[in-house]
Amino acid sequence: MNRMNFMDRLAALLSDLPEDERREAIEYYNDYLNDAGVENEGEVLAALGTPEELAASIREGLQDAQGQQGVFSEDGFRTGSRARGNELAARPGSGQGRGETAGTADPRAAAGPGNGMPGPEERTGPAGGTAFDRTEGKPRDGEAQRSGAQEARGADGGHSRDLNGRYRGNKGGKHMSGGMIALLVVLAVFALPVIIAVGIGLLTALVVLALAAIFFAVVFLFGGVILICAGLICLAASVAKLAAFPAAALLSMGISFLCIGCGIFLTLAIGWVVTKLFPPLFRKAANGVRAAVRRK
Amino acid sequence: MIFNTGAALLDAIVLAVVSREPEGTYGYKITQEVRQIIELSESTLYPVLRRLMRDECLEVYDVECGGRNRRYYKITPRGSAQLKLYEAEWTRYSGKITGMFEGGVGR
Repeated sequence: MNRMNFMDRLAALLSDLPEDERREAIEYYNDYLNDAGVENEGEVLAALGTPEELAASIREGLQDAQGQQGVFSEDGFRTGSRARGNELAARPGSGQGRGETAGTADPRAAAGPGNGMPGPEERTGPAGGTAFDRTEGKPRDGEAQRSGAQEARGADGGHSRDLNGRYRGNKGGKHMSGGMIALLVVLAVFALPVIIAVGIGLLTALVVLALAAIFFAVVFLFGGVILICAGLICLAASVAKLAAFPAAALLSMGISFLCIGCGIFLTLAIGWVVTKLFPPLFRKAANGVRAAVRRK
Repeated sequence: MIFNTGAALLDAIVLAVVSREPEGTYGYKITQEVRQIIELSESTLYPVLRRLMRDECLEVYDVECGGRNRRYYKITPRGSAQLKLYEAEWTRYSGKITGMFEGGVGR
């Protein structure tokens, strides 16, 4: 799809938006493509996805006013329909220099819960994420720290809780909850004997395979050498008999040559397998074992 | 990247990138600069810029450039204040995490 089709399609998809929003978005992406340059146009168009996807991201950005947010994770940015945590961004009355003081933080703390839609994950589990809250540095043990953190929220309020809520909000959708992780850990503990058994089994199988390969290599090598030797002896014998029984001698000479040929082929083939095929195989197996051990 | 970048951190990064240009900068350039820091699809920043504009952290103006208008984004006083808050918050937060990694939990 070329640029013109792309932008036309995008405009059509956004046709139900307010006129200024639509124009703004179209202009932005027109600018964007202009600034990317003609030579990068195809690449950028591909990176923007389909017009449908782009239109969806623009729409979600607009709904953002009613509380939506995206999340970055290992595989890039994702927009979700999760409610935003209370907005860190400027609220009325939250001007400069409100880093540490309680007074200036209060308006936002007050504005927080009433702001837009309260997120479903946002305020659940009051003590769940308090590890990040400010506890004025006093070392406390579990329970005390929790309640302390909650008090601290009320007092020095605002932004630590804000960030906290948001971080927790982000975790909600894509990532596992604490319970899930605990469950997995328990499962892993129970599965450990099985994992170890399977690991030992696999290791044994690998060793056996390697031994078998070496055994076969040796056997075939010996076979090849023996074939060559037998062929040579047979050849000598038939040359000696050539005068007495020419026909039989020729026949056995032919067989000898066949023997020698097969022997040489076998030896060369084994040589090739041992030098070319085995080292990478062994390396791979070793890497596999190493990776498995490290994972444990 | 292993760690999630929440909307607040993304806002902070965008504000920081824009604030480095006193005369303002434009969408494509912002995207490329942010992409040097975090993984980001090409379409992510438009909603972010839009939101920052709506929150009056950024202002826009058009500049004639090669026969067409290019939209420039510039940080507002409110945006600067917001960025300062983000920076302080980040220093505090990342300091705590680093401190914990280095052994002194909660101290």
